[in-house]
Amino acid sequence: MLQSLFDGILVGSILSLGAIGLTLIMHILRFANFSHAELISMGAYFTLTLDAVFTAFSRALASKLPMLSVSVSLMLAMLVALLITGILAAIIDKLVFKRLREQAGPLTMVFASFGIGLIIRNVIGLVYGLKSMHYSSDIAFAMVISSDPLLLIKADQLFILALTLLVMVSLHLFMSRTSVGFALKAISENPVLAQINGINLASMVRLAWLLGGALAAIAGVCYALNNQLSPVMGRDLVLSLFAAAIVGGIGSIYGAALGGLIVGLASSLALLIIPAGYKPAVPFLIILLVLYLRPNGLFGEER
Amino acid sequence: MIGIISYLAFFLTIALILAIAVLGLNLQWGYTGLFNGGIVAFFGAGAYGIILLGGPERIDGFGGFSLPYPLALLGGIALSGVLALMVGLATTRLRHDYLAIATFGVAIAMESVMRNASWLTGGATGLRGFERPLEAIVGNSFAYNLLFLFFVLVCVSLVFLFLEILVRSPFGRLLRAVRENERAARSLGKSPSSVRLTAFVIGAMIMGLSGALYATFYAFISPQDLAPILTFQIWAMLIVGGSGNNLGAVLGTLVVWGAWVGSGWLLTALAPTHLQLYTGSIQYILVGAIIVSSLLWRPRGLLPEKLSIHALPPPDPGSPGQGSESQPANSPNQPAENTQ
Amino acid sequence: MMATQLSTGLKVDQLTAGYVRGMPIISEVSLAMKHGEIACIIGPNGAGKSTLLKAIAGLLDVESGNVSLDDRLITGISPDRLAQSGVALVPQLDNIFRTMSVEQNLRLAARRCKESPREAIDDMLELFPVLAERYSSKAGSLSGGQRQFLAIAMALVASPSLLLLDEPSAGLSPKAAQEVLGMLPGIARTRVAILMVEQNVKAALSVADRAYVLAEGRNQHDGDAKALMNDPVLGEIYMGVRRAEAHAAKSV
Repeated sequence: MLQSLFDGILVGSILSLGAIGLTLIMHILRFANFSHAELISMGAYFTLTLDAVFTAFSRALASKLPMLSVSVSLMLAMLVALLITGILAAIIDKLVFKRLREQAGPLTMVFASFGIGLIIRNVIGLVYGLKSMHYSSDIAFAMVISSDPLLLIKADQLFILALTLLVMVSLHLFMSRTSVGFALKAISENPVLAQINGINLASMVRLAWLLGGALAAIAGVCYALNNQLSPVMGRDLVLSLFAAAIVGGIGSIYGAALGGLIVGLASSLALLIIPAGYKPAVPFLIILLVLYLRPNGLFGEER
Repeated sequence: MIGIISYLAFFLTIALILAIAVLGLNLQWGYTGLFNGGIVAFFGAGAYGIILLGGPERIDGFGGFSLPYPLALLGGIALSGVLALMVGLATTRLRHDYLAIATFGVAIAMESVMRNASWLTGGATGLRGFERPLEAIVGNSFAYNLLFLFFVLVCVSLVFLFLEILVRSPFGRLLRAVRENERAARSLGKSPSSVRLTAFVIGAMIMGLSGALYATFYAFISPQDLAPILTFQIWAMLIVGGSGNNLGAVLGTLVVWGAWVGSGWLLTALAPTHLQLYTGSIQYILVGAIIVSSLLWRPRGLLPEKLSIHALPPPDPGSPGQGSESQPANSPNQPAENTQ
Repeated sequence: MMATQLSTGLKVDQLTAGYVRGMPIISEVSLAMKHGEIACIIGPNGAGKSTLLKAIAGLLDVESGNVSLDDRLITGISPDRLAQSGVALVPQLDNIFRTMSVEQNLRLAARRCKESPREAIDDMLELFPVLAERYSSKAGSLSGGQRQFLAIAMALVASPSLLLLDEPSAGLSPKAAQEVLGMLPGIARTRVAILMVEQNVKAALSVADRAYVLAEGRNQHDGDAKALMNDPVLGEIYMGVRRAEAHAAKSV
């Protein structure tokens, strides 16, 4: 039980990061982006490659942080990877989604997002192989903080929690203190009013993709640290991300953060009563439940 | 010679079975603008439904009622309808991409049921079906396969006719009105949501028919037959053919299925042994690329929609030309398996 | 028309625009006004009054005709760039960001200030003391009149040269409406051109300098606001006047 709670919060905090970008795009551009989860995979794999590059440059970077299986170079790699992922997300929008927005309706973008997801997922499979991988071969030796039979906590996991918390607090400060943050909020609340207040729609859309891609990349690294890297890691998460966004209410950043925790906890706790094989179906049940009971989510507005 | 005809018959049987599912999607997406992200679930409900109802008695689980074939077929179709109703009731009155998410979810939920509920679905090993109707009487398997192809052809024609009549009826005009409204993202009142629900359920039942025929043909169904890629393939077929045009849907099925089978055959023949593992990835990329590039450069497909609603802004600037952009080899004379 | 003699101010010339190309809502509408002037567009429902404001603010597709501000052509410029260069529109509905605080709304609007957004916001708080009182409240919790003040403050914070007001008194209590309209002459004196659409015709004409009557998307009449108030022509074109007068009489 205690273990389920801990695992739920851990996975939930990772989902939160992924869902924030998803909910932003889903609200501003009004389409459900099924390829968003592939940004998670992209971030995780880019980090893998960059980590190898940095380590090759300097052995010193490869030294692990105390008690963790995380190295300095992995953290540097993540920082660069989140930038690359964000930029690629914006580029994909420019090449595909933007053109479809202008020519056709939002559902066509949903359509295309499935196709893009399929392409990214399988290109990753081709490049990195279909087998799952780890950042560090000695990941299993990461320090165990608590080996109580009821609760197993690894130092890496605490690191993940701290990192996601740090990211969310920074995001909160950005959204609530800076005028760029207000602008992003404004464009998602009322795009027309935002524009007549001098906010450029295209640049905010770009910002949303950058932000969404970067957050997804961090989520990917955390997920890979906690589990492993695999080309289907994004696909396995996509329904949970949507569940988190819908629970929180589409467009609400805080809702998505909370929604991620709720979905993570629910999936983890559900395993206490249902066989593990049904775990992938849990987010679907959550989605149906929310759509029947409270279609606008916890924080969403009627649209 | 018999070999080639036999293979062609096999290819056409599968292609036409899939064409039925594409026609079902055409009703949902092409005419009504409803997004279905989990075609495989409705296809699968039909497939499992018919085998559970018509199959031989099971010692190790539920089902196997040995119902007469027509009843089992109807039962499979009905099961898809019920599934669609469940999803549709929750979503057709909401934002339109919720339907996409919920249908995507239903496919994932379905997959976990298929793999885990052994008492119902036989788990990963799947379910053995029943002897194909009339097979014992015909005897000769080559003749039977031709007969089955004919049966599938009749089914396709009936579905085709039904849809043609449906979309020309007042209800069909209603469908397109709802679709155009959706595309204009206007909020709709109550009745459009019931129109959407009806179209969604009928479309899903047609997909159920397709799945039921598939299970009949193979006399077997397992999670391997219902890989998520099936949903994407069906889409690619509709978009390439021309959504909103039933003839286009059938044509698109033949073209894309031909490209899929052909590319699978080609990759298997060309790729060195240690890379065989990756041929699937390449094919999936191909499907993704077909979807994205068709949407971008040929959104109206090979055979564009003819019926359209008046008094609306002119359609997208893309030219509705009839030219074929890719002409894949359509008849690999190789007894390739169903490459899914 | 005296449009041609004006060198500065707003000039709308034969403007045709709408939501869907080929189906214009306004056709060949012209008007002209100087800085410091208040002009009022009146006309029956569906005359295209709000459409005209939106077209000027860059929110609609202009099919033909021109809009120029201070002799600079502004037709076809995106709404955000227009907002940056001195055009401010206050829409009738949804004119504030409800989920954001008053402070955030103002800081957002002040992003387009050329210099010192801080001071600009302080000026607005001085002009609308009630906003200072509610500075950290959610804008969605403000009363109707307070919302309107916030919306106007957001428009004025970057010192626009053209202020477009869509039904500034709609939905307000008579007292609040009077307060809002009463501020306009003072604002205009700071060399702002104010163009407004207003249902409350009598109140609007009493603060306006000029009036333009629109019907079925076309210019019907224009002239001095005070003179128009007593012109019987108006009553014929614009049936609403009597009702508005009756309403105004009742509310006094």
